[in-house]
Amino acid sequence: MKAHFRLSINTPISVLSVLILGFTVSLLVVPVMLHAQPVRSQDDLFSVTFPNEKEGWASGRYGTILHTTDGGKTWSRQKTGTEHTLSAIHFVDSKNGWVVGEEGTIMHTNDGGKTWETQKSPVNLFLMDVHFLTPLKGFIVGERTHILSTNDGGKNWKIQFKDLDYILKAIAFCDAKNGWVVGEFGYIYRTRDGGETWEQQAGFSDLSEETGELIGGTYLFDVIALDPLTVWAVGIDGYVTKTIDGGKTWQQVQVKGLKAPFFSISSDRQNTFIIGGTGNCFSSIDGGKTWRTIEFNPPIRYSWIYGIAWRKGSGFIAVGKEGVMYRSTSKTWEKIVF
Amino acid sequence: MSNDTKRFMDRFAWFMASHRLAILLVVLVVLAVFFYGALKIRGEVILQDMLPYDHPYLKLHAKFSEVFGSGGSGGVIIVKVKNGNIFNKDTLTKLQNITNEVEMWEEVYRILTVSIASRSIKKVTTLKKGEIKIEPLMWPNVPGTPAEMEDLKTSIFSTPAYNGVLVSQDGTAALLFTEFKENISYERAFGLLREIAEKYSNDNTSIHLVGYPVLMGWIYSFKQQIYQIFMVSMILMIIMLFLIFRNRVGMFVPVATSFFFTIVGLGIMGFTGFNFSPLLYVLAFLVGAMMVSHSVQSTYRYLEELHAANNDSGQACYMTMRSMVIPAFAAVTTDAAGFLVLGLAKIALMKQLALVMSLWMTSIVLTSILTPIICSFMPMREASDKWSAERGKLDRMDKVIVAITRFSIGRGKAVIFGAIVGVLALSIWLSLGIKVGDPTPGSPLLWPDHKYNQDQALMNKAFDASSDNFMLFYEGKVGSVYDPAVLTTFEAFSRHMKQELPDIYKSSSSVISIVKMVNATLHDGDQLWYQLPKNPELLYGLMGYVKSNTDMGTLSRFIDRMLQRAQMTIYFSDHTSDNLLRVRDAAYNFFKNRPMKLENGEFMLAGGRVGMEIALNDEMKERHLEMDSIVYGAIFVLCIISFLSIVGGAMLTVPLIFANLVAVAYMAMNNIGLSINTLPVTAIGAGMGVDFAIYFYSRCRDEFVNEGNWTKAILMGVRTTGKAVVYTGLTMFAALLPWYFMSGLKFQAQMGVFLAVVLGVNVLLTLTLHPLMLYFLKPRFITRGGVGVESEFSNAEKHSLGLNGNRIDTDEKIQDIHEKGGESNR
Repeated sequence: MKAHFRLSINTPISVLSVLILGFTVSLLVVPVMLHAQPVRSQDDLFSVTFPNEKEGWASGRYGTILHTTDGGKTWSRQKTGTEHTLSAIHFVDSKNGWVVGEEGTIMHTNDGGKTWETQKSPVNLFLMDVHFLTPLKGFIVGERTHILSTNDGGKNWKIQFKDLDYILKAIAFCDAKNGWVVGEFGYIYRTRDGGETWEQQAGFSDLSEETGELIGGTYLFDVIALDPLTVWAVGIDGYVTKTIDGGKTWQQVQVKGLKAPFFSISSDRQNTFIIGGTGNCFSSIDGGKTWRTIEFNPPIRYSWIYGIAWRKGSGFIAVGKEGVMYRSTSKTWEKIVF
Repeated sequence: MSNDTKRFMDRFAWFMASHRLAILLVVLVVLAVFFYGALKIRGEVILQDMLPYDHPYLKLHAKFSEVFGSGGSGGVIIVKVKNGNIFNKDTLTKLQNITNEVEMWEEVYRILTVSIASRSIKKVTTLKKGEIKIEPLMWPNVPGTPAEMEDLKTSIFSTPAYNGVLVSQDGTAALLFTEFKENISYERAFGLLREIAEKYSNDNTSIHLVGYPVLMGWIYSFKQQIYQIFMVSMILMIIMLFLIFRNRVGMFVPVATSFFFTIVGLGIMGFTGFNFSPLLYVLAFLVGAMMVSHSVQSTYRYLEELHAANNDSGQACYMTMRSMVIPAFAAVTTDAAGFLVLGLAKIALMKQLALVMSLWMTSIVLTSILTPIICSFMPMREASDKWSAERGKLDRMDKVIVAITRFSIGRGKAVIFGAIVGVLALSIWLSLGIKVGDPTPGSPLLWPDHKYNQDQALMNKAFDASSDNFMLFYEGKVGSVYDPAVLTTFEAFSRHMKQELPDIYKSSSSVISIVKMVNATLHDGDQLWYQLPKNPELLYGLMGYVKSNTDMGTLSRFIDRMLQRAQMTIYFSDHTSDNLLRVRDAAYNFFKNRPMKLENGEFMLAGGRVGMEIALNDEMKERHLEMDSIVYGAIFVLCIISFLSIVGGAMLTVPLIFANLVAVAYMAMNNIGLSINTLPVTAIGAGMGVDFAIYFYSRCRDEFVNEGNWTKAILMGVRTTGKAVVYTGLTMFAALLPWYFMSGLKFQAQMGVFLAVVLGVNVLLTLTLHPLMLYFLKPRFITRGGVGVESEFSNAEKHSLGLNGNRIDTDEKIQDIHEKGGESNR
């Protein structure tokens, strides 16, 4: 390259021809560059999952599924063929994953997302979360207090449980037996038998006798179960609650912040907790005793983080509004630009 | 020319010449009448006049602008803070005051006036479980406490419909959109906006104005400067005339004549109620310059004749008229034809322009009568002698001109021919790159460093909104706006545009953002629900909720009261012609996969400023070729008539096309697009050079009778008319120069150069290509003889040229050329 250039600047004419050539090439290339923008997604992302440290998936609006094989540094779009909002995604290993969303959308892959196939949902509801214990056994929660289950990897889904007319937002298991589901009006359901039966642990809604207004528990958006006794949940108005007795009693955890919703909570299953929400993200490294505001770079003051996943190793990935993605490395959170 | 015509011309000229005093009086009366008309002239341009009235986009836009306001008359006021951000009581109060003030103007649509201080800008909050409140964001009071201020910030920055649209993302600027009523003049709109800007800007706050009325307002603000340029041009022209004629007659007569006809033209405009926009001033000036050009030809001829007639001014007057009326008529009608075809464009302004300008141009034919009459009243006996003596010397100009022509028809035939072919090929190649519309970002009418273009750049940089908006309309049965397919189509459309045009897409606004906001709020701020439900029933229910909880003022920007019309506006960062086409293609591609017609209504493209520009460009593109063909066709026919020769018509028309190709190549090279502003200038440019050639051919024809020799006739023609052409060219050139150096309007500067190029090429062609063609083709229409084939006439030539003193010299030269030319022919 260098030698070639040196050769070509021998005479003024060749300088000129190089300039003209360069100009022509740039004229041709610039429009191509302008038009061929990278497939950077600007659609909202709601969920992110990492079956191992390197490989992960994220899902969001308009059927968006993004995939990474380098621990979240770069992402590529996977083809789903749907325009529906995909509210949650979960992979049990690097091959088998499920994604759920509005209008009863359930999609499955057994080749790491190269192909996504639709599975039949027994209900046409907005499905909110999906969790698989094994490549065969899994659960979905959604609108109208529905819990769906499958024992054959999703070939057949059945309504495992339904209750009142509220939205269930999240499901979490700490082992094969013990799991929790949280949702609107602070409702919490728990299973001790691997999802066969579900019992209500918290939540209420009623009409106030004095004013006639609708009253109820605090809306919960996400739940994590660390062990059969320790469970954390987050919800609207900066609400964080936890139990250390398997759900008999729930106590509010004080996290100072705006009175804005917390959409997700994630943990390394030891002492680190991460909470994401609207302009409002916190981390704790002492098991939740003290919290500090996460300094995102660049900051997200008026934006939101909806999904957070622990990458099994040292870091977390957070996703949210307009496809924003942040990656934590030891202490800092850097925006992923790809 | 038939003998009848000749006799008629003789009698006519004789009559005119013998009643010159009476005619002069009539002229003065006419002048007074037209002067009265000129006083009534209007200088307002209304947007509607400048757009094609027949284009479907414009019809659509007109229909919907009754409901939603037209995007073409939108003004934007940007309040920018130099230090800190807008979230302080002082700045917000300022914004509130501006909003209140603008809303009260009778000139704007109140419901289309929007800022964060407007009552119609809402925030949606949760009141209690399952219930929400939709209330004004910052009305009637600005936040008083820090907590309230923080709350306002949160509301703005977390709402995509406001963040980057009403407040810049960095929080240092806020804006107010407003829409002026269609019958408000731009000058008035701009004046109102400027008052706001002056009243509210201070050390820490700057006010920036953007939008079409602002642009037009700025253009109007150049009126004074344009007058100054007029003055400078006039002075330069007079100086040029003095340098050429070296006497007061030559200096005074053309100026007096063009003054008279300028008043006539302005009078016509006044009487017809034509709107005379400052952008068109350059045209008026051009017509003025053409008058000077014609007048110079006549004056020049008069001085020749006067000398020949031994200072008998009556005789000279008669002779001049007799020989000049016909070529003047041919030249002027061709120019007028250029204007007349503008009327083909389905644009009101163009139709008016066609009528007014062609009338005005036609009146110039009278220069050939008026000029000699005025001349004959000038005290010029001595002047004539002096002039004659001056002319008698073969001056440098003569030498240069004759040398050029001699070279062209002699030794340099191949060179000139090759050069012309080369330039022609290059011009064709370059002119293929000409763009339709505005190829430059910002306004191409102004220089890039003009305040308007800088304000526009500021807006494009800081905000997701812009004045380049594109609107998709829906119309159907009453109530059908709530059909979920309408909303989902709107949403998919904006998404499609964003994906297809990531480099220029900025944002979109429609009722969808309100619906989404309400949906998320109904779900306790869960952002997952910030979307349109896919389920039609849910969507229908949600729309009902939005409708019953939102006052009509908020919704009326997007949907009408009868729920049968809706619009979505998409903002783009750019309106260059290439990008307009991309926008249009992307929009139509979207509807390739989706029906435009729904069960109860249909979608319609396209409105907004971008839609209008596209419509205008369509019209331009469609009409431009048509107009050009017709202009040249008309010129061709008129030339055939005046010389009664098809060959003559072709010989006159082809070089014109050549000259204009060069000028179009200049436009392409300088990135000037064809637009409603350039169209009249290019149309008049088409006919501009033809008068030179007509006068030249006419002279050659007269000379041929005397000389009976092609080379001599051509060289004599060049020495007389050719010289007048060069002088005319120089005079007009001098007049065009100040436009380039002085004009704050980039458009006028560029058009000045454009016309100078057409002019220069035509002058050169008159000295090179035309003689060459005559020499090669030896057309019969020259040898047939002209109007005044008489002995007196030939005397005039000899005297006027001062050939007595230089006869031998010239003859020698001509002989020389002839031999050389002959040799090279062999």
